[in-house]
Amino acid sequence: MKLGYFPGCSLKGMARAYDESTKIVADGFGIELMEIDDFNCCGALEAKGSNEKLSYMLPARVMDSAKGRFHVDAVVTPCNGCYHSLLRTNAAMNENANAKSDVISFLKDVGYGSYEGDIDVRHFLELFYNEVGPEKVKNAVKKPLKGLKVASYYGCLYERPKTITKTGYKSKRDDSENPYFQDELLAATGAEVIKFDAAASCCGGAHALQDESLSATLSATILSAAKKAGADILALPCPLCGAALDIKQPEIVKVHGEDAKIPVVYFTQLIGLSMGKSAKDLKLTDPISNPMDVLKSKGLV
Amino acid sequence: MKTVLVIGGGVTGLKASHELAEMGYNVSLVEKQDYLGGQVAKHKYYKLAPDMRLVSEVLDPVIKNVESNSNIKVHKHSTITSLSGNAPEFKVKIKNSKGESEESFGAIVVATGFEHFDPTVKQEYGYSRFKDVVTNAEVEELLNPNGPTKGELKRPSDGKIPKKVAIFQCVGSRDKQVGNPYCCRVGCVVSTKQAIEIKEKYPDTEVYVYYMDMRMFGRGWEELYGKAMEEYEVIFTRGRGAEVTLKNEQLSLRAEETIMDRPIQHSVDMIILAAGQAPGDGTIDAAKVLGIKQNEYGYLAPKDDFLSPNESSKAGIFIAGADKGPLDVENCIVEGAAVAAKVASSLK
Amino acid sequence: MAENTDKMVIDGVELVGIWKEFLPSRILYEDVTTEFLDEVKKLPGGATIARCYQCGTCTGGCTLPEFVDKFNPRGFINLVRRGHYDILVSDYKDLVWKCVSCNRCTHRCPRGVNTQEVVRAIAKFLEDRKVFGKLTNDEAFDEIFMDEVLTDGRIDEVKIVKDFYSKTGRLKDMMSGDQLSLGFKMFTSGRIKLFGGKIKDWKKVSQKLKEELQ
Repeated sequence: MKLGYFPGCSLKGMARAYDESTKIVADGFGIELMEIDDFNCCGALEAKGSNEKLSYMLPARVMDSAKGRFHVDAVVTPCNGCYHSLLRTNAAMNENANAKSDVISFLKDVGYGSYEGDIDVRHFLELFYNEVGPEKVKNAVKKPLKGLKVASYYGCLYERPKTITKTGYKSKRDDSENPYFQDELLAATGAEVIKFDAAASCCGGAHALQDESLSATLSATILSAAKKAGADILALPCPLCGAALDIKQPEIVKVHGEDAKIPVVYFTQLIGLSMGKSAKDLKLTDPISNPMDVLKSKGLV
Repeated sequence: MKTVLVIGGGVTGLKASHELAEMGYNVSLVEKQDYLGGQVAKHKYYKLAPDMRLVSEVLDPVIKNVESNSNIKVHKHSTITSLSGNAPEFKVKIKNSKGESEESFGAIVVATGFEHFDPTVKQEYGYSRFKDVVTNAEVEELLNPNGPTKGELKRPSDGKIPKKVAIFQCVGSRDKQVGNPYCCRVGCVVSTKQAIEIKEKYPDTEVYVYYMDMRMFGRGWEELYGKAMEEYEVIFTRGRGAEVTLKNEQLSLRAEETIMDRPIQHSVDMIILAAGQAPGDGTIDAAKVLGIKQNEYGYLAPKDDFLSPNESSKAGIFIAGADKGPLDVENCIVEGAAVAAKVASSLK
Repeated sequence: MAENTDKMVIDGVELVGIWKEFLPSRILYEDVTTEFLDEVKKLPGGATIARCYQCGTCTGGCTLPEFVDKFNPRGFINLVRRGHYDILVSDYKDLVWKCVSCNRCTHRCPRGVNTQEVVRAIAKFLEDRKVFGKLTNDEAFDEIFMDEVLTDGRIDEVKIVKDFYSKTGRLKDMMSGDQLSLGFKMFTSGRIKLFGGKIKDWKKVSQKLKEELQ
């Protein structure tokens, strides 16, 4: 299976750590990712709020490139938002003949290929769980994350809405209401995955700028739930949640207090760490919420 | 004795007669009107939910099966006046305009059906006071191309096509005031069907359904309800119609929009009352003559609702269809077939 | 105000009060209309609104009611469907846009309503009618975001943040110590960089997309 890697804009910007740690982890387990280096923005939530057709055209161009230029069988993305946009476009193209013909004629007009909504779209977390899995992660551990209590957080669009993610319908997809793929992968590193009931709550990241105080409240609820449950660190698979929970954390703590203060990392950074990769390569110094201190205190870096 | 009396020439009685005749029984079908088809024919029902199938496609073959079968003797314009003897040797007097005659039967099937609830007693709705407050049965006739308006929904007062039509659910059903606390089982789907028919014919006319619950339990009914909302933009409002008045010569209804906790007043051009089902005179008379048990609402009571649903309280007398309680056409036909099987096994 | 504070005498007892507030008319003479429903249906994401049968699964599982009083996707849909434009504007206009797109509603809707997108469409319906009296944060953000996507093909988060603060007249918030030190950290760690523009024929693609957006 040839995999096209679609990092999305965030992973080339603020979520650089996610991009690099994903590549390190994939490489370490023999997953070959071919980067779709001419990707464009998926349109996120803004395109679908602005113009329906446009919201299919942007992701379709990426998938057309993946298929036509890179000849891959599937597109994998580590970003919940991009995952949503791509799946949503495929769902529309398969369920709505007008959407499909609009996209096809757009691609033709701009001189691209003839994408038909048929490429397989995978989230890196789901792909990694299914193609590698906790057992192989366990066997590859060089530095067990012993003593590290992790809250495993998923965000929204990784499992929702099932009308397009097909969670609950496709056997390879995670549980749509109680996701567990990341929990099992992190547990395989030797870390203790704590029970955490806000794992699939919304961080409010989509409104981080438009409605700052509500967004901060939602984020604070998740951060303090993790901390209250005894977590040392929170791991996640989404750059937008990363921005809301990590980059915005100093502002959140200012309003909601120290209860909301907890280091936030991408799950791939922790898996990479257990594989013996360096904190520097994994960009563990990137997060604003400073995971280095707790990792040092546990003797992990 | 291989002779069966079937009382009632509606869809249930027709189906039962035909099935019995096919099994070799001689059937006498007694119908008080001078036509077959019961309420379906009386009110010129036009289309059937949920498939919007023409009534004639269903009713015509059912009638033809009876009329063309030499084992069936149809007594139109006839009623039964007395019963003597016991199963399987009943003697029944059948009366028509020419006089009375006595015949012997091995078994009796009662399929006397229902009648539409008469909404005049719901005085707050103004039926019979306001010309443009009509019943769902009257709308069937209006929408029928063979009806008085040739299929146009002309409102009675001035013959104009209404721009706003409200439909009130549960008229004479789920209502202790009128002694009918039960659900009529068909009002919801019939109103939904009529709303769609109106929107199909007059896309500019708005149709509002005022309901307490939409009970769409039959085959394809829930899907029809979805279609009415999604494709036809029928506006369903949860709240029972409270009253109808005339304001500036226009019908005005009051109701509470219970979902939003808001009492509302709404002006419309026509109001359709989804009148429920009540046991008809035919059912009450038959119960009296035959001496079989009725339930507290007047419907015929099965010997055992679960174990002997088509047997009356008296051996050899069987019951089927809407005389046992509200029922739709599709299931009346099922009942007709079921009762025929039960009669056949009892006469073997 | 005079009429509101008129004196009133009931059974010989003189009462003074703001009568209109004491005795509001609860009967609403209304004209139910599907005009707004038709409008929302045509907006991006609004197509599935008419499927709703008002079960309340969306609002029941919604992220927001715990934090935002009276936030009610089912209720918004009902108001639009029944044409209660005035109530939507007077009571809910400051709520509708607060949806955080968690998609729990769409995820669970038994009627296949794309509730999250429908709620966004309702907010857009209000924006298009200029009921907010100014550019909303959502509109500003969408405009900046789409502009950047169409121009460069990709987005640069820092640029978006800067443009957003600038467009909504809050540039000084961005110049706070926190924000500046954050920006500094981002820059020094190499997380702010310019995209080289590798997308084949982006100009052509962009032109086409811009036409679509018009």
